Amino acid sequence: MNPPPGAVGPKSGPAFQVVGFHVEGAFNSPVISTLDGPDVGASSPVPVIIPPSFQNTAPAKAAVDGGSAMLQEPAASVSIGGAILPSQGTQGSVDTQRGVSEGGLALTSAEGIVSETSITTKGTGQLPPSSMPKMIHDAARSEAIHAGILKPAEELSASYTSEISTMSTLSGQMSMGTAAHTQEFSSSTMMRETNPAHAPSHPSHHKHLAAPPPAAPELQGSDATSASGHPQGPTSGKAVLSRAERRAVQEAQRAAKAASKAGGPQTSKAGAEAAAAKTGKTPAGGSEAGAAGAKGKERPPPPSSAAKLETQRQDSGLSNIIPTSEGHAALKPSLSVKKTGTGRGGVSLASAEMFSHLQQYKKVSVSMLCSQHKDTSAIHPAVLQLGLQYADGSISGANARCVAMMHTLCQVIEDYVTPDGKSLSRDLTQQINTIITFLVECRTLSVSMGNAIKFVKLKLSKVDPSKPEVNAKADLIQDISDYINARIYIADSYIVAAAVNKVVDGDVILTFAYSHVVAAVLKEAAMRNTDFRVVVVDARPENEGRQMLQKLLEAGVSCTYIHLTAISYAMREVTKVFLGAAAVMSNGTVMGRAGSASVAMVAHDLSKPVMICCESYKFHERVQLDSITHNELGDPDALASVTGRPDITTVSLVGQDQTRMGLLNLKYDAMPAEYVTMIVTEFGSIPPTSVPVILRERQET
Amino acid sequence: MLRRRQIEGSMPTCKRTAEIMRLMVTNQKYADADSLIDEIRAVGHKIQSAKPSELAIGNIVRRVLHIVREEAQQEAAEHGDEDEDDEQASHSGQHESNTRSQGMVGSRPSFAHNRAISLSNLLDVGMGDVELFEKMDKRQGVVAADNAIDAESLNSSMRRKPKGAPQWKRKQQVIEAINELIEELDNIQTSITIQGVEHIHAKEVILTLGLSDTTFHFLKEASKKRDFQVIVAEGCPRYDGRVMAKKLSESGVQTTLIADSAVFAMMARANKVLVGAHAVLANGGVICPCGINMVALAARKHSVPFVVLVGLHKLSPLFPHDPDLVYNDFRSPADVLDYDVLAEAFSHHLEGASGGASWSQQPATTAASAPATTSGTGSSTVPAASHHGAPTGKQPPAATFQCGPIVHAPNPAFDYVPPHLISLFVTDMGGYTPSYVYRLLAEFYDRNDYLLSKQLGM
Repeated sequence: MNPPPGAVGPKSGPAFQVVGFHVEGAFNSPVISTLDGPDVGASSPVPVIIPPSFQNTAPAKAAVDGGSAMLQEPAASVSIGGAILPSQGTQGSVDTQRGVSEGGLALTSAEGIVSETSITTKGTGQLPPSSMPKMIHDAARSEAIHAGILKPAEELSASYTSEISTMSTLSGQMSMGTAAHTQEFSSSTMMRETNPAHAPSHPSHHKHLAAPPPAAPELQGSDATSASGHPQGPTSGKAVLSRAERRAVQEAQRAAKAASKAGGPQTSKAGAEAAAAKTGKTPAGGSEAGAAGAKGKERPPPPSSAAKLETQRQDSGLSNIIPTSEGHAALKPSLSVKKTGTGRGGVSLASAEMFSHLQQYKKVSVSMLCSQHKDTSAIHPAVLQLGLQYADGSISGANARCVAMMHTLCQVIEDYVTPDGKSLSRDLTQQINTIITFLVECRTLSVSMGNAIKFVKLKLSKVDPSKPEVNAKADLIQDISDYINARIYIADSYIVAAAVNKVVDGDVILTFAYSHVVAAVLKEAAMRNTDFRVVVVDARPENEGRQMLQKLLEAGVSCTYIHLTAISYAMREVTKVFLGAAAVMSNGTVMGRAGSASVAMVAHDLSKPVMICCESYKFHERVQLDSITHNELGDPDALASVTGRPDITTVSLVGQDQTRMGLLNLKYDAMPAEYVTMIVTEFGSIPPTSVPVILRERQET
Repeated sequence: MLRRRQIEGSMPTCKRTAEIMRLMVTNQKYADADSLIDEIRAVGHKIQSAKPSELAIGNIVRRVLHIVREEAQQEAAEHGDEDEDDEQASHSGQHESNTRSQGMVGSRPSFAHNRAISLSNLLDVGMGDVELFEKMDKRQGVVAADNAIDAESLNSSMRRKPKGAPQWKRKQQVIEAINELIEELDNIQTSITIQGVEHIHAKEVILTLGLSDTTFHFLKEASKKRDFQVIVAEGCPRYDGRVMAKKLSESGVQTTLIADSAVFAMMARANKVLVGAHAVLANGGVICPCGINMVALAARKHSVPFVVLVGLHKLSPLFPHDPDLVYNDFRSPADVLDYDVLAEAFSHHLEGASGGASWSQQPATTAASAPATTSGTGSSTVPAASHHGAPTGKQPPAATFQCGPIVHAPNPAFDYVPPHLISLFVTDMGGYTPSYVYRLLAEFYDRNDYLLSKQLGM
């Protein structure tokens, strides 16, 4: 789908446009109208159809709202709108219907209006008929976030133009300067298809700056600079932002939550897309991923891609508006994440004291990561992507995370070229170490990942230096895929085969949250026409049990769905308890999703057998007595709201303003070995006391 | 009102019940204590059966009955005091007659005799016995009349009859006593909360689940003098823990809100668990809001004291038999599982389905019967043609109804916590252990009133 850098035709235009459109919503509609609508849908990788109602209402409402709220800055928006018009005119893509206000809305500088639409778009996002693909909702929502997030930027720009706040002026000027500077930079990059690896180091700069330059030559100078200055503001003038931020942060967060929830399905799609592209060529893959990122679902390596995209666009001399939108699209996600990250301070009092030894939860964003890692260029884009997927929870579960990491490592190894004068095993180990540190930034490593990394490093250290690089790499990749197959996939099939025999007619199986293996076991049992029922226990905030419920219903299994609090009630009729595990410690302690210890405890109390389905690669030599010493802190905001219960959400949001109120979201808990009847592994079913035996055996082999 | 859940929570129901009782006693005229007792019992049973799970209603009715009986007793005893010698003679005479005519209750009267004299310990077993004695007395009268043996016993049965007239005076006292009871109910909260300081020390970490007014006031009171932290589990699906956390933090207590799932993990760092209860049962177990049994088990596992804050109006003389079902109350399954979510889950295998909606979300209360209706395995190969969300509102064709998997989302309101998990009750009368509950029961209720319904027919 992604056009090679050189070959750009009118056909490829729409594709990107669609992408931009997808994010910006109303923004691109004029362009759409000039170009061929159906063509767009056909050529875009993900068919994106913006519901007509959405297209129309958003700008209109925005204009109204903007008029009321943005009165302070009419001059700016109008002038910029005017400035844009000519640029559109040159394209011949002016949509007279939309007029100036639309132009202003579309262009970066008039974010005021865009941000104002945040609420309206949210509303309109719901408007499309239910028959529309779900992703449109997602798109609308994500857009809502971005728009919401942009509010600060708008305020900044407002204050800049009216010179209310000296601070903001300062930052505005600063950003102007940088903007000008980067303009040159980006124009130079556009001349020579620069390497994408360079780009990520200054993602946000690139993103913005790539956007303005095309417009600049055509616009009046002053307007252009101010236009470019505004978007720049948020990233450079962070201090100034905090003021405006506070105002925006609430709705932004709310929107972000909605989007992250909705994000699930789409992310995978975008990820697949990106991966597909990557198989072709890495730089191209980058730009593709950028497109995905622009959609607001996947933030991964948009920086490089966006910049890259721009250069392509400009080379071909196509419309400026498209790249502009691109830049923005890329900018917004990163911004949004940053906002929410800084908006909420410490996690909570209890976690500050009691959990100070754990990595405090923080929202992860591209810009944040890049600012922390000066040599972002060293990090493979696939790793960036993976890290962000970990961070936003689109890849979760011990197995999934481990497999994803191993695949990513394969990619890294594949793309790796040993520098002169260094040995592969040394240098690659070094590189993998940086990757791991990066991933830890995104989310704490799971035990499964730790074990896998240990394995990879072991293999790396054993690489024969005399071996040609190509062979060594191929061997390593082979080893890794063997590991995935043997330790995870095949192990799973053994576990399923063993555990399914434990499900007999008349059984009532209780399970907690979602475990891949347990789901497979129950499905298999259903395939065998065993007559059983399942009690699915769920817990907030993840509500993974719903996934389990859905899987089981698909398999035709009757279910009872309860919340964790009702466990004592539900446990009475249960005959067996099946649980998954994140890790098993050598003292038999089973680390599971938070709440699984409670489930096992109640089961133990009522003398029900508790079976843990766990591959042996999740066993770990460490011992653990309680859940506090090693754990992971989740997003406290996830606790703050209850999906589908707005009344409750507001209650606790008010409460949060008090400093005395903390939110603590533990991810795992430790189930003492005494609650565990047996652990089903690929080696057979063992009591929890035998875990060290397996560990020892494995070490010896 | 109870049926419609307009009154929720044990405290308001208690008060209302007591007020109804007072009204009844005030407005109606009763010939004697027995008819009053019967009347109260009947009304009490009626109210109780409107909401069987709210045991406090029955408790209050029993308390009132106890008051009436006590008054009646006192009156009888005063009579006795007036002519003590006569009384003595009467009792001894009765004793004789008893031993002679009815061997089965042989030893009772002498016991009762002692009791009747010492008014101060009209409690406990004595109460029952005295009551028994009275009844026996009546029967005795019949027997005596038949046998025409004992003038004394005749005399005693005669003595009961004139009671009808002077009951008016007693009634006043009964009303006063009920007023006292209502006042006591009002003061329960404060008398529990003032003990807060005794139970909480500085820098303590208290864990609680859900919302309990008593617990809140207890902690609030304690926070005036002590500096401690509270961990509140949110109490899904009612989420009243959030309200609790908010209230606590507003009243200046360091509060951390956790998900229910983290209770086990956090228990390792908690020093004490404080919860409110819905009812205390005769064996010392409690009926608590849903989820607390889990907390209690975790507390036991970590050897953390599990303290139940409870007013004695919640003390019920019933014994738990299958308490999870018998005393439970079920709420809407929608709280547990959004219909939207279900609709989504089902629509995943809706592909090409032409049939109408066959949504089989059973009301939670039919817990036992629902699962039996289908065998989920039967449809494993055919992912049930048409499962769809309820919102469509179409009537499911019977055929499709049968073939799909069933989802069942019970939402029980209460948990039963067995006595061995409870370390302490903090009541308005002080702290007690679960093993002492039986004694409290005897103090507050009359044994004859334990079962409100059974005695109605008599």
